[in-house]
Amino acid sequence: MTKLKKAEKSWVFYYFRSLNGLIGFTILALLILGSLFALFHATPYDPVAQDINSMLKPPSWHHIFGTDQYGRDDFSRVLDGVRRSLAVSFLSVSIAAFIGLVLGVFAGYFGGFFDTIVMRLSDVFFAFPAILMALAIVSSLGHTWLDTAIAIAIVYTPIFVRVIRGPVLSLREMDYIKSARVLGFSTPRVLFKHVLPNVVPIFLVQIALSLSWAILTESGLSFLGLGTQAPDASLGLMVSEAQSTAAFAWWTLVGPALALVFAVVSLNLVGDGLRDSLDPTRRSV
Amino acid sequence: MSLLRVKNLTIETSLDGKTLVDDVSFSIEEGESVGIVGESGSGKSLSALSILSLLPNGVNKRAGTIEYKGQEIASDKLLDIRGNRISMVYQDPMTSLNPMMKIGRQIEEVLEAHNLGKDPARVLEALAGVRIADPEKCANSYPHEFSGGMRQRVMIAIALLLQPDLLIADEPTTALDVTIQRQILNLVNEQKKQNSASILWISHDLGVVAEMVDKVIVMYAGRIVEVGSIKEIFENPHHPYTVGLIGSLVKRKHQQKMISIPGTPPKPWTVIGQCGFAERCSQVLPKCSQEKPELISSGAQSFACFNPIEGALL
Amino acid sequence: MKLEVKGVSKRYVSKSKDRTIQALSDISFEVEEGKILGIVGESGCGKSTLSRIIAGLEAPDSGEVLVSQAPHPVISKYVMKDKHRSVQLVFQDPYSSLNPRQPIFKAIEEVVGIYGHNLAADAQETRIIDLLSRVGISRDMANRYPHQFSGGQRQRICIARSLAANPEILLLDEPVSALDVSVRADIINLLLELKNQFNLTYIFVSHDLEIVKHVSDDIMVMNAGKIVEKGSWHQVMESPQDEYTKTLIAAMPALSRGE
Repeated sequence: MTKLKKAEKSWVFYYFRSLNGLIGFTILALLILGSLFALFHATPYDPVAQDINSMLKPPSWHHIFGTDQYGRDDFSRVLDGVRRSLAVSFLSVSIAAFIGLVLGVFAGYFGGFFDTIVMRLSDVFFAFPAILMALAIVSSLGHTWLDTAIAIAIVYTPIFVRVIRGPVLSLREMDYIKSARVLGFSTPRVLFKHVLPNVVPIFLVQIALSLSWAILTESGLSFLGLGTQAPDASLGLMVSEAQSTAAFAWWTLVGPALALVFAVVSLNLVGDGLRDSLDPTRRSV
Repeated sequence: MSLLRVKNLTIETSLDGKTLVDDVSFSIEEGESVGIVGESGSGKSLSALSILSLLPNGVNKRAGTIEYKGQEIASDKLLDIRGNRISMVYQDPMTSLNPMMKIGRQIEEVLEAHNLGKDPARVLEALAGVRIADPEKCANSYPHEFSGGMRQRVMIAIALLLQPDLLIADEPTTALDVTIQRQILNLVNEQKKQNSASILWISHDLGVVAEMVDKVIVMYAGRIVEVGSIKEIFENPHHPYTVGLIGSLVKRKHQQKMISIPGTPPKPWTVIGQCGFAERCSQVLPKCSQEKPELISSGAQSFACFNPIEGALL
Repeated sequence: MKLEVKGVSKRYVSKSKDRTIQALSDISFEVEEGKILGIVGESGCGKSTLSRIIAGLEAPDSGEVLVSQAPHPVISKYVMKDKHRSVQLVFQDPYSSLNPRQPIFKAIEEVVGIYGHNLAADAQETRIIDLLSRVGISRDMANRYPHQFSGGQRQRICIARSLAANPEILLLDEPVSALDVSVRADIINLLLELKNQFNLTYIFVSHDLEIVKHVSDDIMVMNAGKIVEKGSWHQVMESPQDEYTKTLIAAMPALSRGE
């Protein structure tokens, strides 16, 4: 008797068949590789080392992104900035996504009093503009990258709650959830095997979007002087510093700005690729 | 001269040219009631919608002509014919009226659009004509104040307002409860006698169609498979699909196996150049999956089948 | 296995709390083992509420549902363990009643795993293939996802999944209304066949009197949350007593009334 359960192609196979997924993965992998160099201090130059002999040099073989007004190597600084931005954004979004998913699924599926409390609380958070909220939290917590990440996580959690709760609310009324209940399935089984897999695509897209927003928020905070502190590098801080020099030394702005764009775009592409590969109805046969 | 003649109508998806309706021809005589029966995806609604160039987005006519009283309907004449000479009633009465406008005003608008001016008396007359108890109150109400059956009455009043030659009814009772369906069927039959309009009745329900029309067109997978008078089709169907459908309706013994058709209907574009029913047919010949059977006449009836069923069903 | 519904009432309060709707008032009836009860009525008559209550998806305000004299428990939202249930439900819309992210083999495996009394892997697989073949789905289709099937095939899969739970009573809520006309007779034939094979008791809920008449031993007519008539199919169809039943029968197309 032949075995029925033939090895099904995993979602990884479908992920790499999608062009978006492939491009997004490649860019993101390069960015992560670069930030690993920064993490292990393997950048071409020390990102904070000043060199008065090579101030504001245009891109060359020695300094491929040029140098800034203190003679620091922009390429090394961009790598270090990418490391900081990615670290803050991954940490903050992980926290927000986890808490948001749990609260959103429970509020949506069980409803009632718990739902009311969760939703009213998230209303309170929504009443403040995100950046103001983050500003307030950072100023009270402190200025390390961890504080920044926690601030961004607090701001993003209610967004995740809302984005997850809505679909769960309508899933709850779907016939296949009702039939799971009539079949006597336990609540954990219904939630983990039938509700969760069906919010995964929305969840992933939200994660990819939030990662890119978080990079921008971190940059914004640094730009305003509240995130990463000089002389450390962060993409937002570099853009902020380039304000005064960009007019006559364009490269000081282009390096960090390009890195920012690539990071945001690659995360969005990865989100698209994941959504398509995890949804059996979207896989072309 | 026929009132309406559809010739070699072929409809496809705009994006990738998949055939949805394949070479359909039929005609409606003056005062005649014709039914098109088929299931979802058979092309019955698309065929009807294309008469007034109302095909939905993403679908277009590849070939074919539509003639009204011997003349092809030109696109600049369309507005004169639509709603005036040929009118239409749709499936869902809940969405076919504007929820923000009083019913009387919506009827008046039809008169205005055809340059007949304001005529409150005619509005009330139209509502009374479809057996609405208090026409004045109805004219002053919004659609949400009425049930589906009442709204469908209003839609019929609007469709008959300008005394059209042809009323196209696209599954007008499918969304309604059976007792309301009965009232609407009776109403349309009554109006048909009064107005001597032709009717094109589209439905998936053979039982309903049998009560409404003289002639039936049976569609399957984008093609016409059989045409004939109600009596002939029910007593002596030839195409195995028609036999299966009617058989399951009329030849059933309580809790015994019904005559059924195994399998599921195919997408029209997957059965080009062969008989669309071949895969589910009990009478299938090798030829059926290699060649497309043309619609051939046999007496007043016609059918598209290489191996038709002979002998009366009843 | 006998089903008894005793004095079941259900009232809904509108969101704005200014209106109450009496969906069911004092519904009582019984279904004998091995019989088919047809419940027929128009939209808003309470038949869907009644089937949700019988399935245990909703609790009645008063009254009870008994299966073999024992109360049939209402399904709680907070259950920590999988539980066996003797009444299974087949829904109207086969498109929404299968999890789109689960191959159909997995969907049935999940149920067999709970109701199969610790079958060995091989025996489990044999059972799944057997269930699928009983409803006419071949084993080479078992790894497909629901969207790769037609409506009729999905309804067959839903029926197989219900059977995997060894139900005594199968509640069929408009099981063919969403299907193509040419597929309906096939599914009805299948249901009648399975009933004999598995010794099932059916409750067949539908707005379609034609089909109810064909399949039912007894027919119960509902209107505005009440039972207006109840009797053997022959009695109800041939000599209806209630005015509403008469209207309903008169509304059927002449063809289906056997004329």
